[in-house]
Amino acid sequence: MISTGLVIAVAGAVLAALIAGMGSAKAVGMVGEAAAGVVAEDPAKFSKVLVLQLLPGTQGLYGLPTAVLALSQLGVLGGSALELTVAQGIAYFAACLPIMIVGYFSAVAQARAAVAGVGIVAKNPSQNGKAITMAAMVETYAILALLVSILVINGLK
Amino acid sequence: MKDTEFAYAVARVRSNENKLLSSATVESLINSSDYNEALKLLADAGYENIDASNEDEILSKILKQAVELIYSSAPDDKCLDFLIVKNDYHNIKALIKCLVSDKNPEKLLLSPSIFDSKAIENALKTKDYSALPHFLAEHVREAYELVTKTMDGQLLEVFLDKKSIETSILLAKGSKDSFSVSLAELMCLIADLKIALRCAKTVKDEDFIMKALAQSSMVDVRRLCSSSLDGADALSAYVDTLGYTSLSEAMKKGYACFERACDDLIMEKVKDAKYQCLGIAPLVAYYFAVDAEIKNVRIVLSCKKNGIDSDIIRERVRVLYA
Repeated sequence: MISTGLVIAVAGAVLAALIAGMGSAKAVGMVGEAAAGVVAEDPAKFSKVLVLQLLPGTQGLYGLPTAVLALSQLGVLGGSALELTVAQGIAYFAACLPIMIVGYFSAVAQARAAVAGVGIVAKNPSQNGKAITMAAMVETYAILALLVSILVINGLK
Repeated sequence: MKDTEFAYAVARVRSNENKLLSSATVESLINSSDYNEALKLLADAGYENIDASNEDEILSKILKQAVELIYSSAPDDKCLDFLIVKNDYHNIKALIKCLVSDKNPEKLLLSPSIFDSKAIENALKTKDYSALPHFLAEHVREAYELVTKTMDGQLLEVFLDKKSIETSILLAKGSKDSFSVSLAELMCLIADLKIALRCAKTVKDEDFIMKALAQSSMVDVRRLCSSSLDGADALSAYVDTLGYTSLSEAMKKGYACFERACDDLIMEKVKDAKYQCLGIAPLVAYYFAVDAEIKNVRIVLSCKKNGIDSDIIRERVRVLYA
């Protein structure tokens, strides 16, 4: 018998991977378009713009360990799912919210910074380090969100 | 249209901006000893194979390539139509004039254009305008009737120039992009000011001026007309009250100086696009950047051909985007 609490908790874990992944997919796609524009004119810049394209992909990756950790603690991965109260289910769902929401929005924001960075590489390839640093700054908040989600999930053991 | 849809196009434009002439190169061109040295400097700066025989052809080709670049990379090329619709109206003028005087229009047609000039030519010959878009069909029909009734080439020019400006604003509004709309309105204001100044210098009557001026949201056309009727000084004073001091000052110095101030004002508006990484603005700015570059190269080469002093050339060249 699957409890309502478990359903809520699993929904939180799945959405953490889903929404953060959606943000990253959208973001990597956007930077990929800009990168393709530069490579179309100058193929030698491929490696420089590739790094920028990869940056907003990390949020999707952060959603994955959060979901795996939650599902593992809930016993879903082992095949022996726990019975949870609604309150416990909501607690797991809340624990997944930081990476779910911050993951999505930081990926999109990072994509805009990375697209601007692609513009820097297009005009002045020697400054690509600065372009990467500026885009990477956005990553801080995704990492913080991941940390909070994991700490809370661990605390719910 | 979302600004993120322009990511590919803006990146391509940014890559091509590296090929634009720098201010230092233009300064070297101005300081070159003669026409041949200027051509050599241009060849070194990327204007491959340019010489006295193909100078005009190469410069036209560069602007055409810039338009092709922004059109081919934009997510919806219709959003850029407001920039080049003037070429279509130029082609309509050429086609009507050539049809009336039984001449071949081929060498007079401008490209790139939005509409196929063959379709316009066929419509004029058959008097069947159904193959053209509705608004264009109306303008072509009215222009043709006007010229066949009056046989007045100047009236035709005035009518089509006005329609060209109004169509440009309509197309910009159709794109629903605020930058394009404000730029089209600025272009309309500048076109109206040029008309008003020309009319003031050639002492045209009120009826003619009102027929020539396009409706602008940035200026009271009636007041502009009455200022034009009062002469160039009154017009300059009126332009000053609009807040365009640079244009007002340039008007006093002469038409060439005013033309330059107009181009520089547009460049000033589009220059902000240098700091935008998404949206239509960098594409539009690139078009004006190449246009300003070509104008400068033409000015320098023509001055060098005629042995004009470097200081005078420096006064004539436009502000660059790069």
